[in-house]
Amino acid sequence: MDVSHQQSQATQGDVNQQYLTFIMGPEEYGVEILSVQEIRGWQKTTAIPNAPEYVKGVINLRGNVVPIIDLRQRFGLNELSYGPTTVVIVVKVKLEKNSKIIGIVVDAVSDVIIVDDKNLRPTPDFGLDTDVRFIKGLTSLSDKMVIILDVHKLLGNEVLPSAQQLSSIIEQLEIPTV
Amino acid sequence: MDIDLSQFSQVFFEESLEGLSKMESELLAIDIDNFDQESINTIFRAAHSIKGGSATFGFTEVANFTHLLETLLDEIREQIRPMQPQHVEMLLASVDVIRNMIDALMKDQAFNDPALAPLMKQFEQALAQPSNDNIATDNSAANKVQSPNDISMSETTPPDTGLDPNLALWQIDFSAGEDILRCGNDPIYMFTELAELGQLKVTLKDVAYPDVDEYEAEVCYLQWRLLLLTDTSLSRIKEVFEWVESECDIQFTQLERNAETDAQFISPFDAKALKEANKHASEETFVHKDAPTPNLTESQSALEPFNSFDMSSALAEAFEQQNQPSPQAFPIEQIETKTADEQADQIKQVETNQTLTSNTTAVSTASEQPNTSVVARPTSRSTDINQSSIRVNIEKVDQLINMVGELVITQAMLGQIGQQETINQETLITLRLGLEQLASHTRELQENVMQIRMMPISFAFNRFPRLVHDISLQLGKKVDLVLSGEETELDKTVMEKIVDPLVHLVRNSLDHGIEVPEQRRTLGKPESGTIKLNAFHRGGNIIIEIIDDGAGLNTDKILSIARKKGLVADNEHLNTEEIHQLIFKPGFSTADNVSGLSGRGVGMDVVKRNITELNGDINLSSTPGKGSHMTIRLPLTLAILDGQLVRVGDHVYVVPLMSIHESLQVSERQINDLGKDQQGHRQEVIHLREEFIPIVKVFEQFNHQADAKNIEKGIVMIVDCNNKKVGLLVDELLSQQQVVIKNLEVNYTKTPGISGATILGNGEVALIIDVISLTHLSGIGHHKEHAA
Repeated sequence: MDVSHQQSQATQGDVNQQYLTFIMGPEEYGVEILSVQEIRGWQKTTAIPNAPEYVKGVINLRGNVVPIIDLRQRFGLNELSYGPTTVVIVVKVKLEKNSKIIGIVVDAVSDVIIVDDKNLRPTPDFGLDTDVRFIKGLTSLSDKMVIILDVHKLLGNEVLPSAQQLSSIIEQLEIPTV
Repeated sequence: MDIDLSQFSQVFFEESLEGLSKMESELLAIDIDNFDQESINTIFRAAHSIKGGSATFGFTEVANFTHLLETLLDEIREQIRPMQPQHVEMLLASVDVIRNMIDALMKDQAFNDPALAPLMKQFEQALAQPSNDNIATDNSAANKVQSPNDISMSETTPPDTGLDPNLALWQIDFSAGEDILRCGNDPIYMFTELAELGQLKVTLKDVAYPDVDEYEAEVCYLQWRLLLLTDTSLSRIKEVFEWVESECDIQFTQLERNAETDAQFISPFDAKALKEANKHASEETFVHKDAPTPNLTESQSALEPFNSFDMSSALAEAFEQQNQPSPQAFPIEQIETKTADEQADQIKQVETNQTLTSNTTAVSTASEQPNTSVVARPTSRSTDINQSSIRVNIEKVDQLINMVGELVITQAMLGQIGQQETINQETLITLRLGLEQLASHTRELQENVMQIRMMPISFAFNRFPRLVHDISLQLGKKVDLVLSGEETELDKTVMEKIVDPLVHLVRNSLDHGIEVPEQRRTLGKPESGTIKLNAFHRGGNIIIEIIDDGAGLNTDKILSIARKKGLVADNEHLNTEEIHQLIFKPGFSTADNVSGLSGRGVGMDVVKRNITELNGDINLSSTPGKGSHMTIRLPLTLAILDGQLVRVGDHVYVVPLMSIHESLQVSERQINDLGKDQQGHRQEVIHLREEFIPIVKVFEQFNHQADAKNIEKGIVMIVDCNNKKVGLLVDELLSQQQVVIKNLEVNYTKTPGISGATILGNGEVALIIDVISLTHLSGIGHHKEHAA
């Protein structure tokens, strides 16, 4: 697929960016590698009372209290049971004034890819009601589509679409590749 | 070469604020008729270092203004001008203005205080008044009071205050050793340092130049005679030459001061330089003017002193001299031309350098930095400027380092045991010993680290003399402020958060508590009221007391107002204690007149809330006519908490031990059912020793599964919630331990019912229950206790 003529989304810094990709359900996702702090196995969390279901609780990460978010559940996918092979990607989320460290639970870590920002397709428009800024863009890798996420927008304090909305967005994203 | 000054500005801000507080406290202590010379000196020194620092960093506004203060203070110090009461008030006002200036600088905002201009005018007027002393008649012309235009003059060349008769005149004959330059000891640095000590006049003495063929650029052939007018000691002057003493010939002689010697410092050229100084930044411009004969080496050496001063004018002078026919035979024209070229290059270079390194220039000239020079204020100051920092006694740091050293040793010892193949009885004993050591070192380390955050409460108390002074003046009341226990230490964060509540309480005491003098006299009390601030440690807490001997709380009035505002139902009967608590309700105010100080009814509730947020509490006792007594209890630190671990289902929570009254099992007949609330939760109270205590079922509020769903099956912890008792239903009590508080909001968000998190011995996270917010969550806080 020729995407080189596609308008690239405005991004800062290097044109070539490295992304850590991971698998969740049927999709492959990518996050900026510079925002990834570490990848670790699942460990028991301490539940936070009255937190949304996708917030699995907090863990002690070398003295820091770090919340763990199940991205599957956040994206409206069904919950999987956790095992020793369940992977938590610890990311540093930059907010306006400070930054937060948050762990995200994914099915498996896949690869590190280098994507030229020119080859990053913008997110299709889902209408005014749906805020898709948490998706930085789409790129294809051989014949797979990778959804590049903007972790800062995804995990920041901004209002995001609900899990149902998210799952429908991601379903719709699949269409171009199939 | 280019130093980023901004990294130091934080230090400057802190030092300046410290200096300002010192000035303030000294000013308040001054008794006009009989003041201590030393306190004037202290104030002067503080003002002086603020001025010096601000000039260095290019904060010209601050420097200019402080200069006025300094001039006035200097005249008072030198007893040229008597101290007058309005001076104290002016100086106090200017402390505020400077503080605002520095605040603005810290926040990188434009400074805009309407108080500045009138205050400057006041100072100028005060300075313009002729001083009634004629000590320095000799220099009367020079002794004229500074005109406002001259404020901007630099310090080492005071434009016309003339020469202080108390300064000593030192003559230093300095023959530099040949190797001095090779050793990296450039005389210019010494001269610059000397110039900081007082007024310096440098003259080049006869120089034995070698034949031009033998001339070596790295050899210093120069000799100088330096005249230094200073108030520093000889040893301090000698210190400047410490590094070169052995290789140079230096002679120090103290000269008698007379008109002639003084005149050298106010030479005609000096006057010219002064004029220029308004435009340029010229300092010891007379250095080379007085140099005997311009020639190659000299004009080059004359260049050097100007590196950090005023390049352009210096170079112009140097050229002038070079174009003059040289009396000494120096025939080779080429050299001159060449040097001229070189110098032209140098000019360019220097000029570029100057623009590039204007900040650096400011450093090297330190306090002599003339105020008029336009030094660009660093625009991109580091972003963490608002981060608070702490100044730690070096002793505390040393202790820490020792501690860490011990830890490393213990760790090495344990490591050795770990490497042994077999473990026998002997190694086991060593292992136990090592672990014991490790435990004690860790504990000590923890205590020491906590110590670092500790600061004496005087940092908070110090602002009160001023506050009381100002407010009592404003209210026409006479108040003595008594401070005690100022050395009591508490956590810096706690201190920062307690200052505002304290200010509020003291203000209230002043405004509502202390009566006006006439009224006090009729009541048979001393005319001056007393407000006492006291601090001391008790247990793991710090207690701060605010005691006044004023009117006390008027319970009838409080009650009637509370009824009027609907805070208390008409038929409700309250005891004195409960009435006192009413003043902490939002929207409550007893003041007949709302004044600028207090009476708006926002305040006491905020005070109470702030203190509760710090895990502390406030108590009040008051006797009508005798005064009030407020007691604030605060934890020493926010970082560590004594906690009770409790289990709710599979979850472990920490409840602050401080808020727990008791824990007990209740029997079924003690429980009264009040029906269901909106959430479908059963509302129950227990009857305990004539009290009805509402129960919060923790598992319900937190949506957990629990073993004990009924009150009689679990454990009820009676906790304190805003001076009311609430029972928390939990499954089991676990251990009690000190826990290190971790902020949950750093990486997550605020969670109702939870104040923070901590890490338990097994590495797992446990959440700390916030009793008040949990009670709110359950809805109990919104109702009054329902009597069964």
